[in-house]
Amino acid sequence: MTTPSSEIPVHVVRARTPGLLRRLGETFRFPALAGRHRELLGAFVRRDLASRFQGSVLGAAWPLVQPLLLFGLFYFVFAKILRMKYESARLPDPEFTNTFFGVWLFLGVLLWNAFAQTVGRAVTCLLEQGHLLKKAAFPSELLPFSLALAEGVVLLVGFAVFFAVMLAMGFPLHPKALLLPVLLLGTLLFVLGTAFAVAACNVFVRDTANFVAVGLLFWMFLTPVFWQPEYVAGYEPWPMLNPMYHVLGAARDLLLFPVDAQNPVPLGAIGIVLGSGIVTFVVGYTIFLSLRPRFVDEI
Amino acid sequence: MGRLAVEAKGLGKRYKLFDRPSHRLLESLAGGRRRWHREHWALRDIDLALERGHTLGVIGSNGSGKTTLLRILAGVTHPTTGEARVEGRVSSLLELGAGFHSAFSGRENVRLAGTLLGFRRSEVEERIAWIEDFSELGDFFDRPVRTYSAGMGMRLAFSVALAVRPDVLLIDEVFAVGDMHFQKKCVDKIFDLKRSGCTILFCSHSLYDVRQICDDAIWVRGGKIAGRGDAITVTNDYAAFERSLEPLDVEKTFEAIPRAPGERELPRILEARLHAAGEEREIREILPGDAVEVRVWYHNPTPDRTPIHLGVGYLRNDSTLCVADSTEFEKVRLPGREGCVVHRVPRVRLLSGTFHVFAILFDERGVHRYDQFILREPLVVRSRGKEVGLFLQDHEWSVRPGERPPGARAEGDADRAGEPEEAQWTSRPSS
Repeated sequence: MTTPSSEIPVHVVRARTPGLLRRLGETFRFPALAGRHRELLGAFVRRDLASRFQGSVLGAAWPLVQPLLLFGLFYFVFAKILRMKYESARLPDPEFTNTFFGVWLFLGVLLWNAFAQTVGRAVTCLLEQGHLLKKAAFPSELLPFSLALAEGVVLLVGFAVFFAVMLAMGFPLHPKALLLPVLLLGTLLFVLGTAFAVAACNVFVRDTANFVAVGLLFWMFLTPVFWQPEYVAGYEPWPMLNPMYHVLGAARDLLLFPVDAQNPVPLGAIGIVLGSGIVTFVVGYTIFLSLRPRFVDEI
Repeated sequence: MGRLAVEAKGLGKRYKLFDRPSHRLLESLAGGRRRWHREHWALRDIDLALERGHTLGVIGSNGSGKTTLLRILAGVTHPTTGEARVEGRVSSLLELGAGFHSAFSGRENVRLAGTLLGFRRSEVEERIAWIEDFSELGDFFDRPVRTYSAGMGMRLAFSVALAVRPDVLLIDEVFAVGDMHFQKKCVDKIFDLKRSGCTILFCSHSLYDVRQICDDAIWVRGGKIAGRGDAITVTNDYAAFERSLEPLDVEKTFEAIPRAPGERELPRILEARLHAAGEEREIREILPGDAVEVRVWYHNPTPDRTPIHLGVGYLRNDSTLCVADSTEFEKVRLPGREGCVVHRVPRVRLLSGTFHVFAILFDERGVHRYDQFILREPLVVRSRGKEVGLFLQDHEWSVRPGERPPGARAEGDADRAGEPEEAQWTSRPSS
């Protein structure tokens, strides 16, 4: 790999691919790799965002409009048509439940959307950017990673709207909200691991993309995006095996519920998200690294 | 000096070909117990050693493995065997115009392309004015790439690759697009880079460009190196080989001459051979300027009733008739029932190529043919000079500075409108 530096860079290509242990070890050097290519990553993220929003009439407002529209749809269907309410003993004020359901739903939609968009787009990104892979030597994991970062930017915009709505409606923010970045880090790792695995597999087995599209739909309905976790009591432990269950649960605990005996700080859920995130990342990235040497030949 | 900029040992690239997508899945599930693929070696046993500042041409027909080789050296794809080492910043033009995002302007695309080539943003920004100027895109530089013509996209791609001052430049088939003016600019720039010590791998179908730009060349055929050496020798060998692939149509050359009316026994050619002039050794390979002779033995059963004449000619292996002489043209008599005719060329003027030597036996007017004979082994001419084409013509150059075309008026500068300066003759000794 060429590295821009003052001394003469030397790049060596060898036939042998490193063994499984080496590849496992390499997953831990991902932050260093990302740091080294931060300018390229920045360029990819900017290009991705610009290609989606630049030139459109609403332009930079799209990251705002998209989650708002989705939220509007879900709210209309679930709160208005189906008359769903948030009913739980965990809420102190029963008068509050209708508006509460709105923000509760909004937060879930935001997070799920970021996850599903990243994975759904990552699955085809290597094929779509094949012309770049064939042309320039750069680590191809930057492509799915830049997608995750771009979706992260959209998510941050969504969060800004979310907080604005919350404050406008008079919901209090609690100090435990400060744990949100930790939760998001774990989520990012989980998203990346999943994105790496499906992106790599789709190069070789193109059915992956179709499978993922359907799979994400199933996954959304099996995750408490618009139904309360309390509804699946009796099905334990199956719903809990889904890391996204804990991501949404913990995020709502951190941002929406008061601090009292009913609502302890969701340290357990955050731990599960972090743990499953690390495992998924290592496994997914190892799969990616194992298949990476053959990507260009198959595109 | 003399440090290697590019070095490769035993490079090989194998592709697995699956007839159906499901076969790949089956094979990976079988865990090596059964094979579902066919192998295709795009490259095999490639060794390279390229000194810094040298320019290597890579030639070969389509699908011979040239692009795969460049891709491996660029680090884009991995070799199946062997290893390669490239020292310095690599810039490559592997696929024309590819990699540009059509919705973005040229400027935005340049930023990404430069970053992709491994250069810092600040370095790209520094060079962006040069790129804008060199690409000659004018207003289009800030317009979306989708509005570009193919040539404009190429100009942009080329400008980026040249702008980043690479140590090693890999170029794959890029002169195909672009107007003459821009091609010249690019070649000039490549020469500049070459002078400043840039190592260049230049892959092209234009043998002329390869000869002009490259010191050495390799010829890749079927994934292997079929020839290597100085650019002139290798391009000549390759051109001769390519020509030999076209079916040789000697018969067609003869068919134009009607056969003489048949009798029981007609005059015929017994044998013909190619010798070094005046020597007994037969030859197959010569240099331009060598002396050769074709000896033809004939048999004429009835010299009185069927007087004969003999033609000798050289046919290049793409069926181009280069030259043919006849005893009839020059009033040479072929007496008796048997004999040997010698056609001697004291100085062969043919340039590099493979030539088939033939002889034709004519009737006395040179109208009908009795027999023809093609030498079994073709004659191979290897030239060392840069001349291209079929023949080395005797020629000389002279330059008369200040002279205008006849009738053209001197444009105001009366002091210079005198006699043209003394002609400077430089003559090239024809071998």
